[in-house]
Amino acid sequence: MTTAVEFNQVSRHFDDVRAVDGVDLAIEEGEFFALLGPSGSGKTTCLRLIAGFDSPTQGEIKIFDEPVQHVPPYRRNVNTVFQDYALFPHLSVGENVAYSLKIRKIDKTTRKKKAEEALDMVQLAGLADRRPAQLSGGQRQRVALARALVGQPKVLLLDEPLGALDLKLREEMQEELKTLQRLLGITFVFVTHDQTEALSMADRVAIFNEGRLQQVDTPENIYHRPNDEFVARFVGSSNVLSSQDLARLGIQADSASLRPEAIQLVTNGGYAAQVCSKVFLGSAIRMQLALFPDGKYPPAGTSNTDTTNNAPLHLSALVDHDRAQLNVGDRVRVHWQAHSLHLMGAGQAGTASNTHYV
Amino acid sequence: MSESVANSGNKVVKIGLTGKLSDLFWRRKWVLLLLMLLPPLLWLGIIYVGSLLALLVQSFFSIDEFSGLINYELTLKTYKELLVPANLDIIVRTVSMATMVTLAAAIVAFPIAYFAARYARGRWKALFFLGVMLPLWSSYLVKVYAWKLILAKEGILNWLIDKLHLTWLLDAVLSTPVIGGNSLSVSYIGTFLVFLYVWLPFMVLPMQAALERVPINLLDASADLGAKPRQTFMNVILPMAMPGIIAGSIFTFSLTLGDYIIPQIIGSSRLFIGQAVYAHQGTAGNIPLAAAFSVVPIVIMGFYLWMAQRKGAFNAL
Repeated sequence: MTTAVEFNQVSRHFDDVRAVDGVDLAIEEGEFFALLGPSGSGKTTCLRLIAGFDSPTQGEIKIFDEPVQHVPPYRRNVNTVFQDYALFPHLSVGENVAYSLKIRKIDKTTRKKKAEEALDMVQLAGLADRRPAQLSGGQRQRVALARALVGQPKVLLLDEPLGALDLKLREEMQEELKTLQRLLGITFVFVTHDQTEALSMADRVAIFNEGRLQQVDTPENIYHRPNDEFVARFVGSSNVLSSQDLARLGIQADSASLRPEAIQLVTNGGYAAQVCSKVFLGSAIRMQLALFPDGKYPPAGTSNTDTTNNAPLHLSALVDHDRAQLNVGDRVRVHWQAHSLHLMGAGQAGTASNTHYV
Repeated sequence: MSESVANSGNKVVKIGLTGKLSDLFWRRKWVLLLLMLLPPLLWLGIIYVGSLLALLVQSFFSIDEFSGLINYELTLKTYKELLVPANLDIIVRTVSMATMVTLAAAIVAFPIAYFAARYARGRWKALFFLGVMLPLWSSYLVKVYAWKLILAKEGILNWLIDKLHLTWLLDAVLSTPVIGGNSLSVSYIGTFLVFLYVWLPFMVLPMQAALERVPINLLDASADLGAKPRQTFMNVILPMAMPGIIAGSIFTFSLTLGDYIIPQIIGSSRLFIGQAVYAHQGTAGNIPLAAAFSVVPIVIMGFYLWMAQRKGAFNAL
């Protein structure tokens, strides 16, 4: 397999802000790759570094084995779908799509034909003569996609491509992007802060935090085997247990992650717990549980938030609707499969580059 | 709950005249709109359009060559008179000058406007506006006379050129037929330079406003799609700045077409449209011909805007 995009110890510092800090990354050809992280984590800067709008202060970036630090964006075979689409307002939809072909001085008939094909591909056939301003947000998004794909780039970069769309449209576009990527076989690199989007669409996900790479892995591994607390908390929701918490459960480890859906309410065995709150989510019910590791419920009337040795562990659980009759204050028994408690090293933030994909 | 509603319902609220007025404005929004628009509409309607129409009508009258009195019969005779070689010369001269001034202003203004729109922030932006507007705050006549001093044979520019040992170059330029002359201050080059200086702010400001509205990510997008900086300029920046350039050129073009002071003070004694209008309506008392001369810039501007619109110059608006 060829490497489409490679980062070797890439940093981008703005004065004393380390937007990207010592990132090692290898994106394979034909991969659907997500850069995921909270805002300001450096993921968009990484995308801009690949596109060439920005240059790294340190390190080396290669696109298909060619170092590109000094290659301007217009000489890179990489196209971008911008967050706000960046369609040219003075050009029609067709002219927008054909822009890169016009720049390459391809004749008008071929240009028109290719633009129509590209618009057809994103299901906008027949809209070539409209102005971008006359389109809906979803349609503009598709035009931006067609415009970026018409020149057959080797890598397509997508900057929060679905961020501005409403939920239904977003889900539709997720499917479409996925299909399109499989069809074209082009490497897709997309930036998102939406972890569901990253997990559902990408072949592999890179998690960014404060300019550093925390973990690069498949969505399954990211979810079930997070490297550290940050990943566990950022991707999905998770109960992160400290070493003291774990010690009380009789486990020796720095920290551990326990997904809310892994927590089961059972009739026998398990740990004693009490329902603290209950929120109806639609697909499930989220309950905050107070867990008493020593199995003793506090005497009725005392607060279950005391800080003595007997203080409970607070866990968030996703519960099926058949347990909807449980009320706040009810006593339950809690159990989870041993393998769903994922043990992590403490504060692995600095060693994230060890997960470099080989 | 129901008690408090009843209470406030029973309460008699006194509404004064201003209260009634604001209620009226709130219910019928067009009343306020009409009140606000009426004075400017009357002004535009009577003073501006009215005088324009009066002018137009005047241009269809003619003057009796013997008595010098105005003959109030509608005729195209005066317009025919515009086509006399001497008058046609004036029109061609003025239009050429206006074209050159506009082109030069666009070229000179662009880098300034581009810098201000893209890079100047805070203090620099304030400095830019100050620099561009400052000349507008001083008297136009003073500026023109100042330029006369600068451009005169004994002026500072000639002195500087002499010190740089470039007098031969200036002489060569001034010996060019038509645009040359005895010195810069009595040549078309001088007239051109002063026009360019005086109208430049009117080109810079609208251009800057148009360039300000070009989002930077459009330039990124253009580069991303393979366009070299020159191609991005031609395909994105220029078309998007076009409405601003057109707006600016309307100013520089029409102001040059109508000006009668600059060519009178700086330049050869040959007339421009503005001077012709001035002369005909004043000493010569030929109001119809003056009116016909005044219609020329209006027609030219109308044609110019129509062409610009047809060429898609306003697409980015």
